[in-house]
Amino acid sequence: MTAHAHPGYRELHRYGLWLFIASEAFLFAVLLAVRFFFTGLDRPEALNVPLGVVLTIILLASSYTLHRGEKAAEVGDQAGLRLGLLLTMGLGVVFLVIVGFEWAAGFVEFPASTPYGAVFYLITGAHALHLLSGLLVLASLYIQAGRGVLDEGNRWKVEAGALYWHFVDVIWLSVFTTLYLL
Amino acid sequence: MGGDGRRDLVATGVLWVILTALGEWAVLGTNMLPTLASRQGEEVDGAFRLLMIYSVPVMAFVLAVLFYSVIRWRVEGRPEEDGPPLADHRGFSRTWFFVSVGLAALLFIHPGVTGLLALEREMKEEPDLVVELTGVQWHWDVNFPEHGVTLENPPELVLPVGSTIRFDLTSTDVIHAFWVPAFRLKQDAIPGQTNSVTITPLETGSYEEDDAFRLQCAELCGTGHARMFLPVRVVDQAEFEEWLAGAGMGPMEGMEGMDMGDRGDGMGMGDEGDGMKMGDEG
Amino acid sequence: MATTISGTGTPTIGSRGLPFAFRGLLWGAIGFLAGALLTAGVRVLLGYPAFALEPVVVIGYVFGLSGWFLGVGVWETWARGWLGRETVAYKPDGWRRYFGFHQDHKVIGIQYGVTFIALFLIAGLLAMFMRAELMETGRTIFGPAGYNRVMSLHGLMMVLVAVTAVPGAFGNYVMPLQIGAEDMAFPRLNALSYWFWPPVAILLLASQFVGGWDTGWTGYVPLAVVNRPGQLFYALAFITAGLSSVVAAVNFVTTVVKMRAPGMTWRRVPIFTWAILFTGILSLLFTQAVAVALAMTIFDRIVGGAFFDPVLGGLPVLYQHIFWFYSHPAVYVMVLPSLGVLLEILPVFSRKPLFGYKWAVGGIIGISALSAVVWAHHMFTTDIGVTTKIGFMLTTEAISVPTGLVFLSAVGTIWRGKLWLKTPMLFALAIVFNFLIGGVTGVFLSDVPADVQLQDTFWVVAHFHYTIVGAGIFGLFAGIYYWFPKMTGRMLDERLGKIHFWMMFLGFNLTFLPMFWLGLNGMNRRIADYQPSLEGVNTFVSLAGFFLGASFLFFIWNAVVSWRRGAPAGDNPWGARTLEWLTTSPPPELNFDGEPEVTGDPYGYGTDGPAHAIVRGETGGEG
Repeated sequence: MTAHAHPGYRELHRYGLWLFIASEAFLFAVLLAVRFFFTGLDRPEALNVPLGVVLTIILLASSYTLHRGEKAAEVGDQAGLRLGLLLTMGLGVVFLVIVGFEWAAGFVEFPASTPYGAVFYLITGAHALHLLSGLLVLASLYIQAGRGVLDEGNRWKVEAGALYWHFVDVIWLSVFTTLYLL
Repeated sequence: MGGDGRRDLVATGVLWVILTALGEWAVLGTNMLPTLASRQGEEVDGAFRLLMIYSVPVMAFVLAVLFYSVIRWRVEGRPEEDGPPLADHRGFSRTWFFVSVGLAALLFIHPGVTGLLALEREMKEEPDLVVELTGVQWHWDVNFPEHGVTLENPPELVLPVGSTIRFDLTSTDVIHAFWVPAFRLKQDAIPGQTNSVTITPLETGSYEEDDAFRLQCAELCGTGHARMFLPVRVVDQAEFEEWLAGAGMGPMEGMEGMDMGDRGDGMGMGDEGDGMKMGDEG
Repeated sequence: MATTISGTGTPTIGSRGLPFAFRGLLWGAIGFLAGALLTAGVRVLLGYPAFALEPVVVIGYVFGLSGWFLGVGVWETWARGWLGRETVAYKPDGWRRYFGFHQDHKVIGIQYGVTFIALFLIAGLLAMFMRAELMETGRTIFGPAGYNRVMSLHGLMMVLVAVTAVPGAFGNYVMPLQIGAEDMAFPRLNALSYWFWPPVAILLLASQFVGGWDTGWTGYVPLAVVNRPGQLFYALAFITAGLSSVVAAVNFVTTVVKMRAPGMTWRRVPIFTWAILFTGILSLLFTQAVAVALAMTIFDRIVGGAFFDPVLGGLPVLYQHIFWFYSHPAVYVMVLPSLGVLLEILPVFSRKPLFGYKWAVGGIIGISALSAVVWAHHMFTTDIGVTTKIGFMLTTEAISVPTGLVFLSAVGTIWRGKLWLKTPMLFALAIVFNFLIGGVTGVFLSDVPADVQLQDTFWVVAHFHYTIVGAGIFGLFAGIYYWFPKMTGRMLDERLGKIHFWMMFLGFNLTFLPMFWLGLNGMNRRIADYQPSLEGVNTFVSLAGFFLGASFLFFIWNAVVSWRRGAPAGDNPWGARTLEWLTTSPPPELNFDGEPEVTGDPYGYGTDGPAHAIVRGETGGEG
């Protein structure tokens, strides 16, 4: 009765997720274009570039820990998966906390009522919201791993969560380049 | 399209020619545009008329096929049999494609680029008079910088015929737009920037005689947008200078009470005080 | 885990008690309050006064939206799985299935169709009020403040209807049938895309309690920044609608690309499905831009940002760039699906193959590609520089070429056909007529020298109504008359349908044709009052508009009565070849009682070629 020919669950969902990522990439492309349209290549002296580098390193590390977790899941190592998820989430939380401090400092130096400030908070805010949603996805995976439901048939869920997280990291690289370096 | 369809082709062709002739006759024989009173507007009207002339045969072609087909091949009740299996016709489709590319290219070059460049040249012309117009919710402030005359929300704008006038447009609040239908050109008045438009009035006239002589705000700017217009009077140079001298001396008669509610026909803006202030809250 | 698409074997919910939509409202209200309290708490901690309308509304809305979704059925059918627990299926019978998180594309198609016809009628009623105000000069019923509010609400609602109605109703209902799929690729995302819409409706309603907004649907800044709080609701509603579009677009594109029945090569894909595919691609990519533009507006409103305030170094024109970067592709989102409907109907009622199928598909692709690079033609009067003007004039005039290919296909198809003038065919022929006028008058606007006179006048109003109503909405009704028998199993009444058609066609043309003249003669758009010299034509337009409005009474009567008591339709009342007609009306739960296999051309009328498709192993009789 369900023998209609269509691609497997995983292939279908992978395709859909990539489409969603393409759409999200457009979102950030427009946001980053706004920065150049709006403030050209000027940026305030007060911008804490070393802190931006730290943020970048944190996110790159989180992509690595998540990758390790995913590899563990592939060989059925549930404990390894949970560890990877936990470390990744921890790094994600640290990232958000640092962004919070950076904002608090930035409000004094380049408030939202300056052109660069407006661009900076809108773009980093949009990225932080995506990271937060990524954290929720990882938390959901952590809970499911704990209940032992991420078995062979649900491998896609781990792959999807990881793909999204890596995407948010890649976006950070372009945000970092645009806001801190150019 | 097949031998047995030749009569249909000829009949449709005849219909096309008739519709085109009727259309061109209507386009050339009637004036759909309001009074033209500026030199720059001639470029606009020329472009409009030319586009009309171009579009008539295009529209007539599709309509000829549409009308002819519906009349000739309509079937009463459910069709008993299928029509001929014409899935494509290389020659016809390719011709269609290349003709449409050619038409688009033609339109783009003339009147598109030629008209645009002509207008740009006009815009760069050295002005005889500069008028600064500032859009304010919901009226126009006028400044003649060369004469040191500033008019806040004046009852009318008087301009000299035959002079080349550059209007420098800006706004203090939201986006407005400069548009005098008799002059044709439209340009936005945007806060934080100054846009210019150069116009040479060629005909005298006034709002009282013809409502195409008015400076109408043409970009939605809030509650008072509809009534944000300033009557325009184009007069000879002497009369203009006389008006300017009188305007520069102080309030003219008729100035008092010239708020929007009194400007005419009982639109009732005056009795909608709260509505008028809505936009100021932010 | 209930991950199978059919959900067979899982327990079901929703068969008794209050419909889930009510629970969604309750949970949404709770979420809103929680978000509002949280905002107030954070504000107090940061040393601000506890209450400020706009921050509270924004954060409250985010929480409220989450509560709404969980309440309407996401919790049981989906979210429990995120916690590693069993999900259940929402599969009640009868009317209840339309009031919860049902995942069947046929249910969702009908939800979309009915919702958007209702929105269309409400927004149309607003247009009647606008025309009443414009009947005479001076104040007629509500004056400028009221007019601007009603005009803005009409504009946004109609834009949302035009963007969503045809893909929502027929993209969902018909497209999976046309490609021989058992459902959409992601049924839960599909339900999600629909259930975004009640919050949009609630926001638009709520906006009217805080003064509405008066920027039209375009929300130009700085007006939209300094405006009253209704503007915030406008922005939230628009963003929510955009989210729905993105979610739906992921689903449409994946479904068309991945779910086609065996044998359905790209050359055998029905033209309507092609149109839906490219509509999906446009929505998927460009909708994000409007979200950015509106987010910037909200940002400026709430935290006093510098984006659009020139005093702080802001650039009002930037908004227009971003807004139209979405909104010009969006007008093709409004029109492409209806052009798909048009080209779907013409071969069936001409009994001929679709003329120049490849040209038509090329036209759809060409329109979609070019639509990305034409946005600044809305900005010829903002001083964007002569080179920019020339570039955008070129791209805009180039778009007439692929649009022309749709006409090529249309006139080639009816030529020498056996024209069966049933109501769907009448609507389709009317699209050719209307869209011709809409397209040609658009060329005038793409031409800078002519545009500087015509921009922001009633010429523009007439032009886009000719395209978006004349093609988009006529396409919606063409689709309804064509597919209603499939969706309900009953025929619409032909006599009432023809009355509706002729009233709508005449009323539409009598209303909008004189508007070209009005625009030429100095009537700018979005105004509650005009020069006395234009009164006679405006009175005529208003009367014609009321006549147009009255035509829909016949449609409503027809639809309601026929749904209950219409003549049984049978599987294939029009003798069409595409797959949706090879199953029962309405189709069974999994769409076909067998395996669809595509074996030939979808439009091979009059040829000796094989049928478009066959359904193997059909049990027949049931359903």
